Amino acid sequence: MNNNRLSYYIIRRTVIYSLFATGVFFGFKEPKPLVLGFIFGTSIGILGFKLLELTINKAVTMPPEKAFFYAFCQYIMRYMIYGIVLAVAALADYLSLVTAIIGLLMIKIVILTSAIFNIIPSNKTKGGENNL
Amino acid sequence: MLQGITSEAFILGCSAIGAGLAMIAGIGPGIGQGHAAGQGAAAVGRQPEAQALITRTMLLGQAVAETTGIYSLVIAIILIFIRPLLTAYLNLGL
Repeated sequence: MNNNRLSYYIIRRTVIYSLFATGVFFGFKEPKPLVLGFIFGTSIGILGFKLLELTINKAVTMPPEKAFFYAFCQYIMRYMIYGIVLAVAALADYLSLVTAIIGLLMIKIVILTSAIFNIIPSNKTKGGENNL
Repeated sequence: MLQGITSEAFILGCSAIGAGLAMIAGIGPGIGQGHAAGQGAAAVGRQPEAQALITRTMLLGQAVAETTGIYSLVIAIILIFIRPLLTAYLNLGL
């Protein structure tokens, strides 16, 4: 599986998980801030993941010392973006901070759960090889 | 209490110091990601045919490694904007 297909797979799965989570949030008393915060966090999380993919694809073509500083600078930029997102979610009344945090972490949740779900069936068929 | 400083201001100052200390945890994943990218670039230089596998592994690893940085950011944002310590102090009614 090449990089584009992998990132597409993860983003697609994140969107599916997010739709389920949004449905759960609609069951709460005041769902609007929860849903808006979650959509805000998830969309920024997906864009951050895409930015990470572009960074890595460029970094592996550089000399190692340059790749180190390039990846570090890009990380600081993503970190600032996450900080702005969380600050906005904390200050705005119409966004929930908790669901924005969950949305930002959705990509990580998808990666970890994908690893778990893919290992269990492949243990029976291919001797534990991860198919992701 | 220190002279000329109210308890609320002292708590807010300590919260800001705590937020700054929490942000130190955000540097670690950055150094780790940079180190991984450097080693990945060196590995691609040695084995260009394995570039897809190396970048794929790096992508998943770095995406998960970012989580700890986000945790520290969350702690700092909560300490600065939500101010839980000040709220707890005011609820004590001292």
